[in-house]
Amino acid sequence: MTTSPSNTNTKPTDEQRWREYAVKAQSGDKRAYNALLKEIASFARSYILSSLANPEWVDDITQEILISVHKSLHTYSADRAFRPWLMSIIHFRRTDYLRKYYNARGNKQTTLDNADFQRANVTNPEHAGEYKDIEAALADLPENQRKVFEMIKIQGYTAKEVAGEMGMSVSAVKVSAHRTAKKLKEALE
Amino acid sequence: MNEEKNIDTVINGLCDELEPCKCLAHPFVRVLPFLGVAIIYIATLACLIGIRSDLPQKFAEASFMFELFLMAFMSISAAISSSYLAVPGACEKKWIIIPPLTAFGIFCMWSLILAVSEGMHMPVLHMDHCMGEGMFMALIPMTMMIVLVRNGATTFPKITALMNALAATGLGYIGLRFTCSMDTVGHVTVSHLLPYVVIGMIMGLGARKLFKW
Repeated sequence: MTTSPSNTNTKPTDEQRWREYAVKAQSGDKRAYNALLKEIASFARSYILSSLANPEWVDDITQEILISVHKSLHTYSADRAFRPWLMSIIHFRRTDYLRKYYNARGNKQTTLDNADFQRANVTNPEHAGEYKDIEAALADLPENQRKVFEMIKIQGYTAKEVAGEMGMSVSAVKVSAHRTAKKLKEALE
Repeated sequence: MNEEKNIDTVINGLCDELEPCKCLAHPFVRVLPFLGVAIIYIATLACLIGIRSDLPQKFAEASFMFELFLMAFMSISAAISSSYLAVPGACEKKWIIIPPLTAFGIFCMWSLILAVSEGMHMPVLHMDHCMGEGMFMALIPMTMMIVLVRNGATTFPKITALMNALAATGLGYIGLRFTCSMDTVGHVTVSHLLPYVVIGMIMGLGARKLFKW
């Protein structure tokens, strides 16, 4: 299926091969284009996989990248390196995808009594009640301790930010969060 | 396995759609029509509006000429930057935005120095005159810049929008300096420059949609 790159004594690098495929694709060579897109797909998948929180996004982003390469093929010039051109598209599409995802997700909130949420997110219905147990255990904690724990473990603030907000030292915040986690663990066992 | 099938389907679909394409010309070549048309357009518009009567005397003033050259440099370098940024891989040449930004920074400093030395004297705002004419002067250059970028596929939409705005600002500003005889820094900043800054900010906010591809 792949067209062979130019005959040289040494094996051509990815860069040389991709550049040659891209130039041929610009002139309408479908076989070269197919080979180029396959190699790009494989490269893009392995490249973005390590940088994503959810591996399920890889294929969506890879498809976006391929479509973008198709749309912008005319912007590639053979006198420039191919890899920076491709990497720009990969970074742009990955960022774009993540931005859209997080914008769409926003600050969606739901209650644990929401049956649809339970069905979609709780894989083992036998343990569904544990979420409520955690909430109940949190509610039993002293106000300040709960607030520190929620800010640092649930809302994702840094210990420094929480310390500033609560008027505590950073080490006191860390100790408080650690003790609360221990307390919760004991309460839920 | 299923995902690989999906990718293969996409690849096959894209291959079927492939048609020979002409690759974009060099950024310098792409920017030439913009500069040519924009300069002719602004010169024509300035003639239609009416050239200020004291223009020959103003050409003898070093500060007036400095302003014009600075804005011309900013405009041309911003247009070239836009042209470079219009294609993926511009990260290699990201330094190209430094000259127009530096020119704009120098212009702001220059205006600040003038404001301190002469005071922000602003006798009349001329809302109906300079701002309206300024919009007309920037209309075609701005449209051409947007078309130039949309012909490519920018991966830096916000920076590109900023460069577009600077390119149109420079030319529009020069045009207004040829037609408006009010030279106070307050008037020049508020009536000649501020509208472009506002347009640039609006463009920046909508840049992702404007340059979506």
